[in-house]
Amino acid sequence: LTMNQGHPPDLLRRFVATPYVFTNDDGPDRLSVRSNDLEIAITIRRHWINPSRGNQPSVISWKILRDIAAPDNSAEVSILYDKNLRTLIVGTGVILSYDIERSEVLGFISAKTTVKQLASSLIPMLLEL
Amino acid sequence: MTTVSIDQTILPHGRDLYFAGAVCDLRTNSIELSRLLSHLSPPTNHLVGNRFSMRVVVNDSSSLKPMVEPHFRGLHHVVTASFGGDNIFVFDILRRTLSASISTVAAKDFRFWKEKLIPISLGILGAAIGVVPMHCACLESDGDGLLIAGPSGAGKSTLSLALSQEGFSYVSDDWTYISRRHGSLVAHGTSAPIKLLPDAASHFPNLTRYDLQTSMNGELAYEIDIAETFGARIERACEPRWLMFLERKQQPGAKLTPMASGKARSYLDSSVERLPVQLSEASAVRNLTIEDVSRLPCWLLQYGGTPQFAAQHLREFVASRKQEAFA
Repeated sequence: LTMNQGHPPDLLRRFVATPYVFTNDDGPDRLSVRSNDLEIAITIRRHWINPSRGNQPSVISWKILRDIAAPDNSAEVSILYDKNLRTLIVGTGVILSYDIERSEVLGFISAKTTVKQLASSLIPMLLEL
Repeated sequence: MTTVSIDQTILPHGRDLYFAGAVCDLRTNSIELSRLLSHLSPPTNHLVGNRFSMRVVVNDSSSLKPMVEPHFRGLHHVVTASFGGDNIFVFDILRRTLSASISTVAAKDFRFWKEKLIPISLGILGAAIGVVPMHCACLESDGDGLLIAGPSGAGKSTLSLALSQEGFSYVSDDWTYISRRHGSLVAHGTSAPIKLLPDAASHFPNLTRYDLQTSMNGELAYEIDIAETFGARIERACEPRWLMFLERKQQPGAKLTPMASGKARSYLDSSVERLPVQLSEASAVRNLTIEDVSRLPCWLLQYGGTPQFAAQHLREFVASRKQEAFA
């Protein structure tokens, strides 16, 4: 019997490596940024992990991946939200979710989406700023 | 920008639905969708007691564009599936919830829900609701289930069809949803159609009356209702008794060899998608279920020849096992 002894499938791209990691070491309030794209990681750290940013929503964990495999079609922005989770989708390639209760932002941005768009437009829309 | 609130208070139509032994708490703004989904929810005696929520907003202002192929992504406990911009499904595995904004086209598309969305939902939420998806077919004979595993292309579906013509009832041909209840295993099917690759037509000429379709994994296949097309008897659930691994051979003939549970476990582990650390509870449920399944009497079936030949061989094998059990 030919067994599949390789890695199990990762159809959802959950396990894409995120070599760019920033954390601060403030004990239980530790903040973290993870990405497979250095520019994304740096920008999130610069713009969104800054204790002096006053009343912005509290996000303690960020994981945003550059998704070069996703179709890069442009389309209208859709936001679905309920009590715990807010999800922003642009076309097919941009998917960002904000888990309010867990203070996490997770998602993928397409190859053509710029980091500037992410920081100045998409994340503020997601966090309702 | 379209903003959709999935707030229960604006979703007036609710009902309990039953899929693969799990209870789905549906809330929607569409009475039509609620009625449509009730037709996919057969009465069952095999409830495992775990509930999940499905909140669906049907957007009247959406376009009338046809559904497109799905795009899936996931991180941690959140998985999204989009079928074009008008049909977005967000799965929150930790909270066992599916939230969706869909078009009126999708809300009326019975086949979409039957063949895609319900199986997808069970595949994504399954381990969290205690019904673990496993890549195997399942046939039933007098309450006893026969699980048939093997890689894609090994012939699970053609053998399932052939077995359904040898007196077995059909539960599933590709993905079976397995739960643990009171120390026993229960294998569930869904209403998904059987998927047969083009070469199956050489064994089942009836298939040539149908068109090949592109299935979700991109393969060209016949996707048909096995009861309607072949008169197969359908069973929604059964207790699995045996686990059979398939291996195709060029030479005609069939050989059954006992297989160690460790090897079965290794195969089952490798055939399912990994879960992230955030879903440790679901992982634990899945591990226990896979462990229990791999402890079933397990055999390797190496065969060459037609699926009908292999089905006869398996029918004799199951009959002999039952005789031994009664002796």
